[in-house]
Amino acid sequence: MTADRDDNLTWLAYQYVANELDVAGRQDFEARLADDQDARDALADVVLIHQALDVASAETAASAISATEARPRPTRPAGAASARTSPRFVIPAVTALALLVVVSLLMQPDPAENVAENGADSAAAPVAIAPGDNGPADDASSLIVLWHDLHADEELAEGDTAGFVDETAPATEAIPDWMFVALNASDEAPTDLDEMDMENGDGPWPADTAEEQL
Amino acid sequence: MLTEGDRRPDETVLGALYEQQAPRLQAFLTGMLRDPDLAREAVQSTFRKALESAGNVRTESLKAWLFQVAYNEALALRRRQGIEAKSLKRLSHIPRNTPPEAEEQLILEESLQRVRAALHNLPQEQARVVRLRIEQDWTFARIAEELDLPLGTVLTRMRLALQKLRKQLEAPE
Repeated sequence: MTADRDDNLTWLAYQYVANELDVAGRQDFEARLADDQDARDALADVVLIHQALDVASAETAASAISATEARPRPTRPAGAASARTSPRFVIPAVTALALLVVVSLLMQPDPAENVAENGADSAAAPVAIAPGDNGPADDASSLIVLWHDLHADEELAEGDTAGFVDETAPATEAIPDWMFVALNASDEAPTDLDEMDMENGDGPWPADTAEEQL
Repeated sequence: MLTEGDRRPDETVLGALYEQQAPRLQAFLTGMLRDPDLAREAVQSTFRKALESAGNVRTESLKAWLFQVAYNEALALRRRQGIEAKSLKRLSHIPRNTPPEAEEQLILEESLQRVRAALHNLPQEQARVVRLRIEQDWTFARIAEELDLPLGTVLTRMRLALQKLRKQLEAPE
């Protein structure tokens, strides 16, 4: 048997196994199988090659699956920041929250105006105070609630399953001082956004340098 | 064993032939029938017939005769099962329902090990084409496109790889 004939037979057998022959080609090859032992050997070898690759592929897939199953589920160490807790996500969210607090404070009715509107009759009566408007202490508690709401949403975004959430972490996390500073500074903040010099970073939030770097 | 004057096979010769050829016969029949269980059934009936009538066959042509019987068995099974060429599935998608006998499995595993070892020894570019075509079921056109190669180059690599893999599979005679 010449090498060329062997090569052609192997290729023909491969095409037969892979269903790449047309009907006539298939019939010709099967007729050849009736009395050509070289063609039969070629067919048997090609099938064995297919089987070997299938087994290897299945073993690779099985080992990949078992490796995935054996891998410990990631838990975040207490106090450690998640990879997804990046400035890209946190900074816009926190600044939006701070802006919301500032705007809501600015929209509160002035107690002095209430007194003036209620006149002398109401002077003896307690001033109507909007719910939650208990001064700086109430502002701080609202801020705490909003801060924890934000963190709750963030935890959900970070891990769709409870297993990825660090259950050993402290129940409450410290509110950064800058939020209180932002709250206190709200009285001094310009009421009109147009007054802010956005180009110089004088906006309601600091420039996101991390985003720019990306 | 056979002597110079005794050219007819006996059961011992047939037994040795079975051990040697059963995996290849099984593969040959799987190629024709595309059903490993059906192929195993054909292997068994082939050897039953061999035991009944191999006495009339010369030892040197016993292997070819065995494959001839297997071929006829496959055609008969096809007719009985109504298997049509157009409905044949790819080999890799056919489940292997019945586990083979332990001895058969050992012989088969030896062959498969040789192929896997040969695959590791192939030039990387040839092994890649083989894996993408057979394991991933990519068409040659897609392989050529993804690897940014002419289609002819991909086909040539496949042919060369099959040749080398076959050489590793040459069963000891």
